[in-house]
Amino acid sequence: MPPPELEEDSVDLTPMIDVVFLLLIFFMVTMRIVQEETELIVPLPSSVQSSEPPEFPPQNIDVEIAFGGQVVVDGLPKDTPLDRAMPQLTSYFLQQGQVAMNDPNAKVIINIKPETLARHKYTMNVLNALTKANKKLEEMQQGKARKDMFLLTQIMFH
Amino acid sequence: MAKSKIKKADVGGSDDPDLTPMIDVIFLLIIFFLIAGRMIQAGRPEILVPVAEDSVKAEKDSIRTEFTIDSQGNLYHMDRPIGSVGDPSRMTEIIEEKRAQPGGDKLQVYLRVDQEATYQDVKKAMGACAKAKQQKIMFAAFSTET
Repeated sequence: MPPPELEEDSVDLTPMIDVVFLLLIFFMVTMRIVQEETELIVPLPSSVQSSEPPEFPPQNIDVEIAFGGQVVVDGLPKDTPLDRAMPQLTSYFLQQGQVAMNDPNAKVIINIKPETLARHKYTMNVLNALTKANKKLEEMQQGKARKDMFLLTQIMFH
Repeated sequence: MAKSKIKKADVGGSDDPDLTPMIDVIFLLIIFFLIAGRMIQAGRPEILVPVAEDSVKAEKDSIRTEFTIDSQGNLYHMDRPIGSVGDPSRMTEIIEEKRAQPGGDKLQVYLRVDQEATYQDVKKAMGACAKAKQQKIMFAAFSTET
């Protein structure tokens, strides 16, 4: 009597591996890679208003944001809507902050005035430029007269 | 008898590679992708937040609550719709409730706003925060382009 064939003992795994690979490829292709969100901190103006007028009038910087994203600061256009980094606006904030940093009585108020239908991304570009300028000012203010100079604590939305 | 035994060992040992570890790994990968996919679906409302290179990672220990505004002006608290941003009274109520809890004075409001949402919607949401005496908000952003 001949010995039984050895092939009968093993199970053919090829179709299962095919299916499993197809499933793996399906899940890999359909899955999105989720990017971690970060945040920009924006202090809202205090709801408590001082009854006394300030001794030294604050310096106001008006930042207008048009529907299409063009930013106009104190009447002068800065950067283009496509330039998200906003180098001109950042250096303007930095310049104004440096002046205020050396004067203990100076106060800068940033009035952000986007058009009603302006997209949120354009407002965020301005806030990002402010954050960038603020970070640089914090680095520069070591040993200066002003220790409390934070541009971002004086934002007003209109 | 002895001949057949030797044959069996030869066939099983050298010609057929052992596929068991590979199948194990592949099944583990499939389970990973299945679970990860479900976690994404069950999470926050899907919006595209703007890019801000100078945005920072969230503080780990902060007490916070999260609102989302999509491009159509719909408002969500965490993953739950709470109407339109045109009437943000529910948003004010939620923030007031959170602020009334112990440690609520340190509450941080995290606003996830779609990059295509309009300023009028964001302004209403900020107004709701101010009404609830919330003075610090965080805008969600991506630190790099997706």
